[in-house]
Amino acid sequence: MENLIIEQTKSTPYIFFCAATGKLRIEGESYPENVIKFYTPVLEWLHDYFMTNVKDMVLEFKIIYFNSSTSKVFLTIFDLLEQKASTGCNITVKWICDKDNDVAIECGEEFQEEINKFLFTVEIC
Amino acid sequence: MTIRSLYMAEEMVLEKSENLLMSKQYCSVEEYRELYEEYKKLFKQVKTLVKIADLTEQELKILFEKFSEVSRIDSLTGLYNRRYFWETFSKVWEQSIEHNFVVSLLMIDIDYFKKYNDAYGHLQGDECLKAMAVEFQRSVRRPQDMVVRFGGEEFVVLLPQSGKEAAIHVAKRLFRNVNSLYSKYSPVQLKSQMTISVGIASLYPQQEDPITLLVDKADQELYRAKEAGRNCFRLYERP
Repeated sequence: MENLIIEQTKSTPYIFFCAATGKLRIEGESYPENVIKFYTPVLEWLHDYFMTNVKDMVLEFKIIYFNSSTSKVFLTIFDLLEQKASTGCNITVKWICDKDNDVAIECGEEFQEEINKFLFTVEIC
Repeated sequence: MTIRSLYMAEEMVLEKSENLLMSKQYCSVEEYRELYEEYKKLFKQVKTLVKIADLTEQELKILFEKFSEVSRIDSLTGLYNRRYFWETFSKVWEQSIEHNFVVSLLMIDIDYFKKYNDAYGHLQGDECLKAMAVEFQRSVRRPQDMVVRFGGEEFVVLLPQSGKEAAIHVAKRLFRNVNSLYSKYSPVQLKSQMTISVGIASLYPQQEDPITLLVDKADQELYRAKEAGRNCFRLYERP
């Protein structure tokens, strides 16, 4: 399966999903004009990836700022991860934020409360 | 997988519910339970989304307030800046015309400030400006009076609904406070006794007056004060 690489722009994050290693990264700011248009390839890639024999997966979020529509997409992604985790896949999500970005830290903690089927850690650096 | 909208899961719950309602037969408890669990999960997500939206909105509000302050305040002296002066002055001017209020303005210039800067350096010049700004601010008492850093070493005091007597009173207080400066501050902060020249203008604005009239008149009086030897004030009054 091919990797997914989307370059960062002013309003959209850098996306790097590596099928071989199971290491996925979303980094930067997310407030695209058309959230569906931007994240459809991401969700479709994840859907296809989960059809393969995935045993382990680490998804890192290093998001500085994101709008409400993006937070809905993130919850949709977490839903997909929960469904996959229920089949025995070992999934870890790392929510990485700067120690000075209080909003990102608190958002990470809110997401963490939603999740109970896979490991969701908030890492402050 | 076709993604049509952000709310596909919600739309599916609605569709299933509609189908159940339209169904002429009762469905199993499991089907109702499945729908209920799906709805419960989505409702929990909505609560998370609202909390996250609140966090970012709160941050935006804080940033907006900081930005508002930065756009109004001169960072060196903490006084209002020229941009904010004109924003506020236009409202004071209009109100004065509408209600026939008198308004006064003092234009202050620090005497020989360039020489001070040249003698002691720009950092010392900044300390001098900061010390002066404190004294200028102390010279006004009412909340509607405004002290502004107008230029490099030029300052303005705006006195809405105040005539000649009040303006002179404030000018005298300015001179007293500036005169006491040198003894108040350490030699580190202030290297020599400073003086100011002040131009005062006081008038009842009329509809036909240009909005710059009061500032122009005060500026002319400031020039007269400088010509008269500095460390004094001159006044223009149009009754």
